[in-house]
Amino acid sequence: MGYIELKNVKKEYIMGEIKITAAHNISFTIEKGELVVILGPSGAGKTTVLNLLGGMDHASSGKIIVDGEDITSFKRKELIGYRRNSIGFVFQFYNLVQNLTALENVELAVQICKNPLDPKTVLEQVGLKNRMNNFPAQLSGGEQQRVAIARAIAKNPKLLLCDEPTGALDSKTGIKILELLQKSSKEMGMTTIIITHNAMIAEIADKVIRLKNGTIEEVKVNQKPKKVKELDW
Amino acid sequence: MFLLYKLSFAKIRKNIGRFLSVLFIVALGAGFFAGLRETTSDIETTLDHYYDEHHLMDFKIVSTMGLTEDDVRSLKELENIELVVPSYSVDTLIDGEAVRVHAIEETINQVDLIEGTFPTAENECIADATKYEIGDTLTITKVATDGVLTTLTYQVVGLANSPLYIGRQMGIASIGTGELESFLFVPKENFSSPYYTEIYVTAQSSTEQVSYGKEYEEAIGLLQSELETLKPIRETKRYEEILEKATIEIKKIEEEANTKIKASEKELTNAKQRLEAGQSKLTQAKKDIEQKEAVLNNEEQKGLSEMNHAQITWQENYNLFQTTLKSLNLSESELPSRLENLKKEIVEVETLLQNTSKEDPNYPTYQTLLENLNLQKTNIESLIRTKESLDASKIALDQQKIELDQKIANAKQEIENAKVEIASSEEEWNTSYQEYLNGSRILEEQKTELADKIVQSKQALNEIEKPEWYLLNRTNNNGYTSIWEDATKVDAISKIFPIFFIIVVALMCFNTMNRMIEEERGEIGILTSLGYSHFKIMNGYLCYVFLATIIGVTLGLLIGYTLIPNIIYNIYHANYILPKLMITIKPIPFLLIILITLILMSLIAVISCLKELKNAPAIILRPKAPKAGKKVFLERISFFWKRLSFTGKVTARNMFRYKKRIIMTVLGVVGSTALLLTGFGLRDSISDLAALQYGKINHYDALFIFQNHFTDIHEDWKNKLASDNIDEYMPIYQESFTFEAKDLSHDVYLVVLSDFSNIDSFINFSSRVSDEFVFPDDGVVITEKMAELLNVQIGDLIKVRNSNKELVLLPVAEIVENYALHYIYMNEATYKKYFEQEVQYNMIMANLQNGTDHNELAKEWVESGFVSTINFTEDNISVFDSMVKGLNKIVFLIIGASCMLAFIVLYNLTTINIAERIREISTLKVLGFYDKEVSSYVYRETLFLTIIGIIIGLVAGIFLHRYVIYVAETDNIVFLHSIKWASYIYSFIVIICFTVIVQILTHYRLKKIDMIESLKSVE
Repeated sequence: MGYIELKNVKKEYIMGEIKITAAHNISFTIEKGELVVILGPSGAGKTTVLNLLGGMDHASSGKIIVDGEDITSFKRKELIGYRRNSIGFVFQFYNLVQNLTALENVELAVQICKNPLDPKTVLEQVGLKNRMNNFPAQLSGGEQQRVAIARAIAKNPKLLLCDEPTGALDSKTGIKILELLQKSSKEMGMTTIIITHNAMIAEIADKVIRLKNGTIEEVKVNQKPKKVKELDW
Repeated sequence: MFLLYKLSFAKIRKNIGRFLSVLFIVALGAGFFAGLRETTSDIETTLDHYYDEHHLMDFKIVSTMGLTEDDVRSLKELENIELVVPSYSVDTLIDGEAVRVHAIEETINQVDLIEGTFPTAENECIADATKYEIGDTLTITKVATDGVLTTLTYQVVGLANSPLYIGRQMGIASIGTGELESFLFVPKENFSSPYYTEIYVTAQSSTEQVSYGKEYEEAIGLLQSELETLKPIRETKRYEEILEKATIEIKKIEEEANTKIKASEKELTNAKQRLEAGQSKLTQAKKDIEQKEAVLNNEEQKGLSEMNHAQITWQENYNLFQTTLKSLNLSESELPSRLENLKKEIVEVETLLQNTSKEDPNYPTYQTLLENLNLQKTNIESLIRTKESLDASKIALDQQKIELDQKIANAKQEIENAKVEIASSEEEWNTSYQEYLNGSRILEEQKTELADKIVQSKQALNEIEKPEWYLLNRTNNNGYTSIWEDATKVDAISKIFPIFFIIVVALMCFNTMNRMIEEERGEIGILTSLGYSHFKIMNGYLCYVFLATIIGVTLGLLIGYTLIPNIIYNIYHANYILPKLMITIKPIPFLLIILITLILMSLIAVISCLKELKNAPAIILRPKAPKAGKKVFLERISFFWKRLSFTGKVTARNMFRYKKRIIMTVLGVVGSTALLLTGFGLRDSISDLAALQYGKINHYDALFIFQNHFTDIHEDWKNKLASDNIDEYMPIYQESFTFEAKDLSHDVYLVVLSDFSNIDSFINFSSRVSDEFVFPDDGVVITEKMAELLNVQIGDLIKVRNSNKELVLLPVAEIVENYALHYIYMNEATYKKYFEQEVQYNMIMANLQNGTDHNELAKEWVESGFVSTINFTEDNISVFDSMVKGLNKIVFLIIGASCMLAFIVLYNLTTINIAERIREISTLKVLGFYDKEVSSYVYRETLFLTIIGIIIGLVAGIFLHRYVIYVAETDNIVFLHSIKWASYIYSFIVIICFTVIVQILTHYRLKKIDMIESLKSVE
């Protein structure tokens, strides 16, 4: 049994009389410390799976077990607690609080966690030692994403979920972000899941899960994941 | 094009809450604005209609000497005159209360008959609907001018209000307590007066003008100047008439008196003559008596001497007889027996002789013896005869003597009688003489009296004051003027409140529209990129705005127009007797408000649209960059910033991030709080007035108004007061006066206090100018509102007039705390000094024992005949309370409005706050913030701003409250200026409650936010 295990997970959205199945028959396992890429084209159900994993949505059926706990049975409050302590999110559009400095954005997340990391140290780790007191608007896209990653990591989560983290960035910056994610996964042993439509990125993963039309097309374990630098953009 | 409108409706459907919020904001603003604005106008229309309907006079002319037919004629000749109606009225007492009795007029000052009919008989009347019932029998106990009313008992057949008596304070009366309590209308024929007491006049075309308006004043102005010209002419004419009449009268009196004097004089002369005659007769009679007496004395003397003479003669004869007897040695009594013896002897002798012959010797002897014996016999017989004669004459003499005595006695009696008679005649004469003397003295007196009287009359003639005309127009009517004063006060309030409301409402709308357009930025971008013109795009929004505005304004106006004037009008019912309010929805202002609101709202929509549309479509299509965060000035105060918790820092940052929102939140809360505090404060200002005025200041229990003036408390009263367990009482003199201030006449009670030893048991004076109150020995104490109206200070003189309009100047020596009505207090010495007369008390202030039955006490005292009525202080409190109840409604209106305002402002700002920060909120949720944490993160700043707003609002409320009180205070009431702590706390709690309610409501909205959706969109 893996650190994370999905068993026949199904997600349906009911919109009036129409039932849309966003994901079904999803089953996979992820080991602790693994860097997993979920790959798929637009509308394949990547984000649905991520949301389910991140406790932002309820599965219609199936089981999602994270570190021995079945989060599909969680109530709203438990789910929030799960997000609070076990999950770090990184979004395509950073979602930083504009009104808070880089450090404060990290602190915002950290202040509610059980055993967080020191925000300043984390920010130093992501290379923003000198930009800590800048507001998001004063930072470049890459820097903002670093803040977002720092915010996610600083929570010291069980699972780091990244939704198209490089989607809004140019390739050079994107590489740096991926490097950072790979580094944190490897050095800190943090289980990381990256969602992307970019197949190239999949090469850096320990495990690649391909989705198509809401179902798993393929789960492939990379025996030798590439370093980000080795990627060919 | 059609599709764009469809889009508008879709927008409404999609966010019905937003549409409704815009609609209600507009409705609230428009309703409040229009309602308050129209109140004064509605009241004006209602009152004008009422006055016109009942033909309220424009002028009332009264004169100090009454008005005549000639006055009426000359008035009718005026150019601008329409109607001249001479009429009567007189002040009377009914059940001890002053009631003015008017003649029913058909063409002017018509009563507003509420119930019943007009009188058909002379003993029927129409009475004050607020005081009497149909079927009541009213008995007039006293009439100010005797003989003016021919009928004094009336049956109430109709109940009415009168446009002459709109105010519940009807003015002052020349009778009773001096306060006019009610009115009656009786048939005109019941007045019997040689002159009219008043003439009502209307000006041409005055009814067409709206009362209180400038045009009305102009319309009556022409007549006013004509009347003013006529006034001196008629005054002089009347004066001359009176003078002439008086002169004739004096002459007549003089003549009459002279004839009377002459007649008396003649009578006296006659009497004198008679007296003189009587006197001479008496003298004669006396003389006669004297004469008679003399004669009598003479006769008596004579009679007596004759008698004596006869007696002496008899005595002599008798003596002679006795001597003879003695010589014969005989006694008187022996005489008959001697005679018998002799006769026997003679017989014996004769027998002897016969028997003896002549020869017998003895015969001669015998013979001689016989002869001797016969001689002896003859002698004896002579003696007996003498004796008999003597005896007879003795008897005769005695008889004579008795007769004489009798006669004399009779005569004397007669004289005595005559004397008595004379004496009584003399006495009689003396009385007559005394009478005569009296008569002549009286005559003399009468003569001097007449002379004096004539001198006096002539003097009085010279002193006859010129009659004075008083031209009274409607403004001299208490109710007419003060209702308007009050109505214009609402106008003053309606000028600030709505503006405040409109600003807040406009800001709210602007905010909402702005937000909506910002949110739909993408849609606008798509439309522009599709090639829709700016105008067409804006049209879509305008359609939305039009719909919200038209529905909102119409709703607001309909509610505002009907509700607000009625609420305010109702408040006036406490002080006035008013007709039903006529709500007139004037189409032009109505449409104008809709139009203005539409323009304003459209402008808001256009400005918001243009803000987006000015950019190129590509830029519009891209999401708007979020507002950049930046350091707030607080961070520069590092010592403070360091101490701030993380959340505190975040809150501080957020607060300063959206300055517009801060301003609006604070402003909205400040406004609501200030309004709320004003509302609560108003309640504090009025609700305790009665308790203060009648519990703290005038805290005596009852006022006994006596039938007659008195200088000392009668023993009977004393006993009665004692027996009724009233141990504390003080005689006072109270009279109603008026004073003029700010072009208005105000009533004031002048109170002369008799005793200062126990004054605190009745009235509690506390000075407004010095720390300690000492009742001044000289000068008067006036109440604070009066001082304020007259703008006087200690040492200034005040002018007051009594009911006869006589002016008195009084120096102010103290100004005291007082809340209701005006009072002038003074001691007896001051009264004497300035009124130049001794005080005659007419009332008693008394403190009753607990549990005294007021009705019983009043009934008993009124029946005793001492007092005409008793005023209980408790009743004053209830009158006051009913007024306060009316004012409470406006307080609720204000509280309600401020709550609505608070709710709308807070709800609107909170929803916008949430909408604007939806990504931030979603991020928080994703980060695992619990619902409560999310809410508190969002609300903390609102709460903080609300508290700041409340604090500022409470301070602002103090000033607003002060202003409202300044505007709303009526001229005879002082509102309390202080606001109770509880009101601050209530205001605080209410606003906090609304904030919390809004937050609870929006909490669910926060909970429902779909973080996935919100985060998905491009930023």
